[in-house]
Amino acid sequence: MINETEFAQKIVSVLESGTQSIDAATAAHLAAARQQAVAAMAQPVHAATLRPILAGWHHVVEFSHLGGYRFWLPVLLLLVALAAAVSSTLTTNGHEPIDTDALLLASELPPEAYADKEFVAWLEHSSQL
Amino acid sequence: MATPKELSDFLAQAERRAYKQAAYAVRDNHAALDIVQDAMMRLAEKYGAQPANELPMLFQRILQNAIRDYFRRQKVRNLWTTLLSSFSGGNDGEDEHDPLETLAGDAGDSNDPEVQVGRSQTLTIIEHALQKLPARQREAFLLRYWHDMNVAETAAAMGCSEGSVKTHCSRAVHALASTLRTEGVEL
Repeated sequence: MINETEFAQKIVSVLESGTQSIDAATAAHLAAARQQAVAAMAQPVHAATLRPILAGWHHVVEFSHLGGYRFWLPVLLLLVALAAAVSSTLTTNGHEPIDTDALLLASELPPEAYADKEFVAWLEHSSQL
Repeated sequence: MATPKELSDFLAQAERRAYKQAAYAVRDNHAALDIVQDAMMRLAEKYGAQPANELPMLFQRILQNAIRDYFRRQKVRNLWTTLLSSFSGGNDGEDEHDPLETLAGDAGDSNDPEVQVGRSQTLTIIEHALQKLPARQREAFLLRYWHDMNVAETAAAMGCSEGSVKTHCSRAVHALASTLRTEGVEL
């Protein structure tokens, strides 16, 4: 029967000695990674900080808790796409009646030719009943 | 909130163990370095605002997740490699771990070559025995005894119950003892 804790401590002491014999290149790589991580912590990204334009707002609203650019970039793209779609719809609807009028006036047929005579006849017939 | 110095100190004392821990899990030294580097960056960027005493557990959690991510990526890569194996040359043996490499790479601090070789051989045998352990047993053993976490902290870092930690640790110790006995190693 072994003493688990005591045995584990012996194993760990051997493992610990192994960490001291890590080659220089690996140790340097680890140290560089550590310095990079500490630098990343020391300089947090404030790109998503928005200063309110309205006078009297003296505080700064932080949006970094919403995920920074990862949150705002898709939202921005969605807004741009929506604006483009709305703009396109308005433009199309605005030109349509003008185009139709121009077509009617330029055509050799009178405007009545485009009317649904059968429907008018049916309407008159129905009103007489 | 941890200061940059506290983070730096913590990483300085944890980085080598973390590297070894990752290497035991993935059996690839380059991948282990990448995993540790990634875990360090994630800790600093996402949890730098946490208190310093929470850093060890957070780092372990991140490290374990990074190791799991590595295995997931390997699984996907292996799937594609299998599917496309007829179009590419085999690279059998690339990921095999040669015990002699570890033996040659280790340099003890003793001047006695016999002691140095003996220590190096013992370390190699233990490291191989650790690599052969089931992942959860290895994880529990290293967190509990090497990183000196208590049972509750280990359970929190592993995302399991304290009972599971005790079971994993006990099984790991007995498996290691059995391997060392078979190899004729006396500690």
